[in-house]
Amino acid sequence: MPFLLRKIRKARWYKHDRVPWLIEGDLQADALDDLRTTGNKLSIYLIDDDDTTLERVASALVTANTEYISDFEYALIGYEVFQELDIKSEDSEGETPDGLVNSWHRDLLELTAVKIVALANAIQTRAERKVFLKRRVTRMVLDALATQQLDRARMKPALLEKLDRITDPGAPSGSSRA
Amino acid sequence: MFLNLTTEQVSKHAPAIDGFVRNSKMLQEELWIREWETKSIRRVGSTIANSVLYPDRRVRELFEVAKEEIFEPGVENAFTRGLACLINQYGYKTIDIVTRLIVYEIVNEETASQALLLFGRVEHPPSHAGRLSLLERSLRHSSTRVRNAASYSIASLDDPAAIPYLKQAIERETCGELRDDMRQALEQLESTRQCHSS
Repeated sequence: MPFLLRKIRKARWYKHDRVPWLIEGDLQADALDDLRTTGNKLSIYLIDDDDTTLERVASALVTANTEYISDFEYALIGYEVFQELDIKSEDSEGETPDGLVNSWHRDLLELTAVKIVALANAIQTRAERKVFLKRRVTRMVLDALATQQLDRARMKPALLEKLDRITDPGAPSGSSRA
Repeated sequence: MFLNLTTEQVSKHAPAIDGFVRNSKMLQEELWIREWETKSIRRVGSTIANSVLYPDRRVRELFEVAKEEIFEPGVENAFTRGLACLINQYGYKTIDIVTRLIVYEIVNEETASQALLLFGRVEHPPSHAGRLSLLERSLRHSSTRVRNAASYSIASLDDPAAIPYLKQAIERETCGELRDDMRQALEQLESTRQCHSS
């Protein structure tokens, strides 16, 4: 059974926080920011839950339109949940530097406020929320570059410069770079 | 003017001429010293203003600007670029100011978290110890988001010196998910320590 992956910010989904008004089982509204729609569509990836696939998606997503490597936080939720929520989807090409990962991209369609909240609740209660820390992500990205899974032409020069300095420490560097 | 004087006249007025020349030199020297003093005062004043007042104001202004920013992982914005620039420019002074803002919870949890994430990735070796110290202190912050950002950034710095602080943070952490994230950071640092010792 496939899974749907959505990039999130884990801390927004912690069930316990200092907010006294957050009742048991409820969500912080900030979590909905991870489900921001465009044209009532939401971007997700349909994948198999195995380490190789997950790492490949992580490498692709952390290098898509980014200037530095960050930790990769994600929610993984069973496909059957979407069927239960009656959410429509369509194939649509992703915009990462990895062509294969792009073919796993889907758009969730005709989303309403009610469906988004239902999806958020499902992510809160039924999804696996995990993180790949930056050091691991960096290694995965360097491997993906070496095997040409990632297309350098589709990555930002600022990111490539940082990655190149890891593989070639002698490359010129500023005294303080973000 | 001396060309019209005879040798006798020169001899006669020599002491006065010497005195005039000496006085002129002294006057020149005095003027030069005054000019130097004025420049120095300006320079010192400017240094004091820059090191004491200016970074503090600029850091606070940045945190104000940050309230309007949208933060996306992997993408720099005016806040993160500005803060990185101030770390480069003022080093520890910037770290001190940010430490006060975060530890005393003067700034909101989102901007505090973003500042901490930057502290974990900025390439500025002279401020490494100061940044690590702030991250360790932030593991005691009242917000889970800030503690989360602190633990990620500690992992990003990958300095095994933080292991004891991370262990203590895991022991007192009441949020289960955050505790798991901290454990992941701890495992990474322990593997780094093993690599260093072998």
